[in-house]
Amino acid sequence: MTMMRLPIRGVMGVVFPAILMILTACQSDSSATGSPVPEATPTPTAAVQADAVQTLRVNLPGEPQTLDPQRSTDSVSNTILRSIYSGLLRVGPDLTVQPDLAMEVPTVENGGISADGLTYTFRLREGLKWSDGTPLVAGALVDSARRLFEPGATGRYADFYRVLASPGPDGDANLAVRAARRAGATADELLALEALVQPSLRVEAPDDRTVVYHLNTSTPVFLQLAAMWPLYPVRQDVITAHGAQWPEAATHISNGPFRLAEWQHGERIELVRNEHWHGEAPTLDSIHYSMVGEAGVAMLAYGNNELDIVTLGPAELVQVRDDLALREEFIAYAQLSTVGLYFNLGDEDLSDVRVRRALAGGLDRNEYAEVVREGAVLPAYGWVPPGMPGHDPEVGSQYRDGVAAAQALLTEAGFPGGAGLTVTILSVDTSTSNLTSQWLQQQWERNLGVTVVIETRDTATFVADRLAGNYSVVVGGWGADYPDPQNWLPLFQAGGAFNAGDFRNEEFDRLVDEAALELDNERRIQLYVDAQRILIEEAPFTPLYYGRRNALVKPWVTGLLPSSMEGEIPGALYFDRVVISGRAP
Amino acid sequence: MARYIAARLLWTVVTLFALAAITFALMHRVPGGPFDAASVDRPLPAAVLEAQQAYYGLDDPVPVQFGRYLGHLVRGNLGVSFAQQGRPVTDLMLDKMWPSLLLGLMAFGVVVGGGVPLGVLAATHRGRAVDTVALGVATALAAVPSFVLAFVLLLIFSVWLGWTPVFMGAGFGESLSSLPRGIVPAIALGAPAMALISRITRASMLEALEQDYVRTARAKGLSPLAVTLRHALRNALIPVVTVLGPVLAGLITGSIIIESIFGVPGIGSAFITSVTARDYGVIMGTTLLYGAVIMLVNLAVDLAYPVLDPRVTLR
Repeated sequence: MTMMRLPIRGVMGVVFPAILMILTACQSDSSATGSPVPEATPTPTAAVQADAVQTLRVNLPGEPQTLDPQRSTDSVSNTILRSIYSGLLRVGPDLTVQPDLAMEVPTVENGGISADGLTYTFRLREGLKWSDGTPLVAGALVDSARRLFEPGATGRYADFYRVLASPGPDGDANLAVRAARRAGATADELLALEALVQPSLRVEAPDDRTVVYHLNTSTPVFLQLAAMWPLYPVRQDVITAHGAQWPEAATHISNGPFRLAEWQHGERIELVRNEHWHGEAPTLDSIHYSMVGEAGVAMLAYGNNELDIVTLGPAELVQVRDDLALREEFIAYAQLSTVGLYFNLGDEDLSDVRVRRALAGGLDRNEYAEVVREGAVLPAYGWVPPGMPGHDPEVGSQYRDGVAAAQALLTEAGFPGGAGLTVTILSVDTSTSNLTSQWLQQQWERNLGVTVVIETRDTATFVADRLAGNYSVVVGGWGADYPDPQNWLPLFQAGGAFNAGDFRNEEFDRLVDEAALELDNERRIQLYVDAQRILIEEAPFTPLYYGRRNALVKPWVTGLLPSSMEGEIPGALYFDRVVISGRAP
Repeated sequence: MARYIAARLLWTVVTLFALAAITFALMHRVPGGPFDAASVDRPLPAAVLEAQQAYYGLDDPVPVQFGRYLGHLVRGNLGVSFAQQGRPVTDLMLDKMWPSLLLGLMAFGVVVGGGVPLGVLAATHRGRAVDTVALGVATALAAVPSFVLAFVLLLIFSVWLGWTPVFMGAGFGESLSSLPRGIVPAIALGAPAMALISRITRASMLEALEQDYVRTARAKGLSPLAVTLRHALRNALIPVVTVLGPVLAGLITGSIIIESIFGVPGIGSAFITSVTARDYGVIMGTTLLYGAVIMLVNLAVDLAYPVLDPRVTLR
């Protein structure tokens, strides 16, 4: 970047998004992601000369909520957790699971998975250690599973692991505790009661190097679940000694390639290499995470060589596009996320599938991706995003160039020329969300003649209004927790926890139920593809865009492996492979 | 005097109680709760939500919750944060108060050190070039939004001159050597108030310079500097001090804009994020802190009046 060009662009391109970023700073994005194959990456040189200073400097979009793996629910926390912990398995760059603490990935053939698919046995590597040098034994994995179901646990991810708990209404457990508290039970009585009503866990460690998970029902994606942060091992002795404050830097003990050395809340985090890690020792000595939520400021810091990697916001993307030098450092890759429109099926007009199809068809998704979002995202027609098994590029093709068909559908549904139909978009008060709502309004009014009202709310009110059904359309989406359609399709099953629009379709439910138990992978994926066709055709939701990550990486960051499961920072899942080579002073 | 202070402090406690009650009632009335705000696309399953609310006692009637809160409050327990899971609110606020306080005091230095001399200069050179320039600077600083000023300062000092890093870096306020890093943010934070103070000082000085005692002082043959500083300025400062109180309170309680641009982990952004996250404990803690700071600063201002003007007595 030349010094003379920045000012003009800097002020115009940086200042205005600043306001927008402040407004969006508090909105948490669901799990972040990316495709295994970056579209453009600086090619790592075959043999790199490592610099003396091996520190990577990156920026987090905010403060992690917690560095306790069983309590973490946000992608900022998970980004750090993945660098400081090792689980039984790890998701590889190709999205398959690879052994990490485990000696090998369990299969039916090697006896790791029982023939009925209900028992998973992991044999741990020899000589595993915690970051304080003490031996890591299989009991630590039983502890982590147990902590997921403790009363007071957030529970958002405990839901994923319900197959590990004995069938029982564990929601009722908390209700029993509450009733006792109301009745004036003492603290000791409450503790005893809590222990009594806890769901009994079906995880055991027959010896120090073996952990066995017994499932209630066959769960083909369990290996993906075993690679996720909620099952990372924990030090129960540390938690008992320090209570809720244990994840602070002074007392944090983990078992990953790096360990937590410093955590200045809201300011910075420093990880240093964990000398006791079982894997090939990382070249990096330390990773510095700053926490500046302003994309514009992060961009200035990148230009000033204060950051080695920066994620681009909309204004910065335009700046990079116009700058030949910066374009050399640009990487972009698809994320495993889909954003679109949820229709309220309880709304009288929208309960007519023809109206929903008309609204789905009356949008020019290319214009949205290319013009409104400046190419930061990809137009979407399906639910399962590209890069994930079960993605079908053909699905949703009926909505491409669908304006004429949409107009006909509206007439058929009793709204000729859109007359008499009013659509209310419930929108979160963030820059992107407002932009999207305004674009939708313009599209539907222009293409279909529909009257569109936008209701803007702050995040918590938005969620409350959405649950109360006070809307006809909301913009929302999903990011992959693990790269499998099993994480995506059950959302729309009748009674599903996130099925806010209350979509009900028996054939869809049957296909998804069947897929959940299917052990033959090819057939399993096909069932999800079939279910997805029904979903898009019945349109309780219509896709708008697939997420993409746009970032700049300094040429001296070599060995960076962007991945869809990395969280908030490009390459964060494999920082142990990064080498700093030839950094400019 | 002691009785006056005691009475004022008693009223401060009463006011804080009212503030606590109103805030508590309002934040529970606003739609959405701490477990709704966490994620737009992943509301908690109903059973889990209910269990969570039961665990934190959020399912009790609001007056019961308020009673419990007050009980904890008088024992110095402000509860735990929902957004930063399990962190005690006192701990979190102490962490965030220090950078804000320090930066606010530095900005206050900018306000007083820049605003008052600028106003005095403008008044003593009324109608001349110095006055016009001072007025121009003040108007520009008052008109430019602080985030624009912040970015311009970042461009000048960090990108062009390279004197300071873009990121303030960790540990601001932990050592003397870290203080210079706060200069640029302090200028950005203090500039609008500095403009205000210079305007008020100028107007007040113009009035003072017209007074008889100033003419007398001049007639006695005192140097112009002594006349201006010892006789005119001291009297002109009363309206300025009145404004400086709230200005100080505003500066040390943080600014979300300056804090987010310069990456200061301050209390201003903690307050705003707690509201959007419905992080009840932090909302209450920061609101009470703001209330206490503003009332104590106002008390300090009132106590300063008799020092500036012997005719004023406090009862």
